[in-house]
Amino acid sequence: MRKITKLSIFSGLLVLVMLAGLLGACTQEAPAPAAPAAPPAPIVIGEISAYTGPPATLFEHQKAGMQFAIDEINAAGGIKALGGAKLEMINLDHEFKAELAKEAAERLINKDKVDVFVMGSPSGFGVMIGEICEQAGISNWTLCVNTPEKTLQGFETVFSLPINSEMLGYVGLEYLKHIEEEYLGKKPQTIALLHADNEFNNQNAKAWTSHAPEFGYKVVGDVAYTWPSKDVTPFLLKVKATNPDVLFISDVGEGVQIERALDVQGWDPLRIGLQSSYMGSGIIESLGERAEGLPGVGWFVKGATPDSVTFADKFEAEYGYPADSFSGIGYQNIWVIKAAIEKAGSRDRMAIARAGRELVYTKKDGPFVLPYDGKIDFDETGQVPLGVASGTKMQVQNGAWVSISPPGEGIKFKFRDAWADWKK
Amino acid sequence: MPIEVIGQGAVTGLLNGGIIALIAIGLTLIWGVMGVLNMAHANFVMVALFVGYMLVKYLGIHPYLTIIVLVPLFFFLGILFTQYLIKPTLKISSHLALLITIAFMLFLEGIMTFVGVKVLKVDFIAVDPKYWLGTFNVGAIVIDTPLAIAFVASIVLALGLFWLIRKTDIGRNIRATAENPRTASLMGINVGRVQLIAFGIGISTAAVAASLMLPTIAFNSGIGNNFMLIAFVAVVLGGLGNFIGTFIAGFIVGFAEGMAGVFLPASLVPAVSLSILIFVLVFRPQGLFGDRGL
Repeated sequence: MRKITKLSIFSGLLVLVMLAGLLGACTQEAPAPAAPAAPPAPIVIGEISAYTGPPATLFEHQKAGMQFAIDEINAAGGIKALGGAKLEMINLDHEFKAELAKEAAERLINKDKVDVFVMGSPSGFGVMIGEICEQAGISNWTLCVNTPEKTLQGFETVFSLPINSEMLGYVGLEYLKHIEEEYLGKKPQTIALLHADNEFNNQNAKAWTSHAPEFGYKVVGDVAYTWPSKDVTPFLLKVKATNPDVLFISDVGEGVQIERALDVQGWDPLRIGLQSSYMGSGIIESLGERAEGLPGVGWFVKGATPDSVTFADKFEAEYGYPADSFSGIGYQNIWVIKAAIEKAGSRDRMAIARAGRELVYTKKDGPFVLPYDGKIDFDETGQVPLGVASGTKMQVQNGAWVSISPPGEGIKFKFRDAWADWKK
Repeated sequence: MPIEVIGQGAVTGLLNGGIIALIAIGLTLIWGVMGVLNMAHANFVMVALFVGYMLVKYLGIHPYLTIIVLVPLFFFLGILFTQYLIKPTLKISSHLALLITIAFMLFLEGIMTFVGVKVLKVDFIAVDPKYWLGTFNVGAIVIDTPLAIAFVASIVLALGLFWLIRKTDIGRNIRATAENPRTASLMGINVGRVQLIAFGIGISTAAVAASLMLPTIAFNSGIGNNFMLIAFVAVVLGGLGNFIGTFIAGFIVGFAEGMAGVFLPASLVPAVSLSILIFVLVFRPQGLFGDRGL
């Protein structure tokens, strides 16, 4: 019998190890075929607004406009420059409370790491949120109706698409001039303003008062009413006592109250609404036929541009209510953000902000639903300047807002019965 | 300031005072019987406005006829609110009961904001203008017809409630409970039941105020805050728990607000009611008419 030596044991073990290695190699899976490239991470838009409290309806409409644009962009292949990255949006509610707005903005920027930021409302928090975005180096595409001194104070990262409070006052006067030249038989001489007593509306009034003489109108009354208010009658009486040819109204949603107080006083003056009831759909819903002929200034109206008609029709089919200034501005804002990201070609926050500064949005970048001058760009304060931007000059006709200037197809200014003396 | 504007402001303020008085007597009744300041009171008015509006819009009934539905409904809601929220907390402390009314006030506002935003989808709500009912003139003064109706109705209702409290068995029980619940209990009065009824009546006045206001007002879920402060001022001015005093104070506060709107800048108008409140609390805490109970 052969003697088992240490050497033979070692050799046997060596053979076993080699066999096991060979067997293992044979049973190893073949390398997998290359997996398809993972889709690019989405670009996340963080937005804060007042989704609780009485004005929430307006901002729900705004959110719907933004979501509608996001769905369109994603369906069309997302952000091309980022390999088709889709857009996503996170909306947080600040309940119109400054401390919650700050908390929500910081959470979106620092915890959720959103790529761009949208300040949905209100202008009163503009500086605080602007500072947070500036420090974080993230672009802030604000939809607040800004007051120029307060919210656009030299921030590098803020972009404001809506015309601001000062511009709205100016556009209101432009609207009256337009009506005067095209439709009135005599020139209105005197004008008066009834407005809510808050920062935005007071700013609106200030601009309106200072610009009125440029248009040849004499301001005979400028009356603020307590806001919020149960009854505007005492204030309306004060403005009525000034006996103006034309009444301007700048409100925060009390249009129905004001119209009822006018009705009670039997006073139906030629008038133009600057904000915000006179740019939304609620006043038409509430007043029905009595809203017919009310003129207003806003941001968006179906018929102001060809794209506005397409958007308004699709939006109403999707959401079951008509697109208004809030949904229109939200929709356009997302398309402008998309163009800035495409231009940046990067998801880097500051790269997007820099691209925003250099951006000139035109028809080739996407739909154009606001009546702006063929382009959207931002001045050194981040505001779309007057001249490029314009408000919509509109009127309620047949239960909907229609564009008077630029005129919608076959649309002319309509006179209420009490205004018959003004006809050309 | 033209005299017509001053006269118009005074009359409108006085007419608005009718509504304020109606809301305030409900508040003072609850205070008198339960010793609880119901901070949710004006938000019951707001909810009643929403319910009334929906009855008008969807069932096509006249705003004034909503009273048939709103009064029993809110009487019942008042009883539920008292039984399940106020009484259990009141057993622990009156501070806790006050807190629960504040929580409920915010709860009601939240619910109705949801209804306004998601269901009705309008920022301000008003009944169809066909119910505005027009105006009539007294000299140069224009009177808003539904406001005049609300003014007269609030006086009639207040007199009716005063009669109920002074001349009926349930009224006597309410007054006895308000004066001293323990003694009332020893006299065989079912204090718990009386408190429920008093609270139900208090909340019902809020529902009546809502019905009367429907043709005159555009509102949203924030309207309760406007009414709460002014009603509270009327209660303090009239004397906490003083039924007649509170009713008269409602008109005084309404008149003061109307005149303030005419003579003062808008930003100072709310300060008028607050000044009245501070003045009364410091110099005459028992109110103009004294804390004489119901």
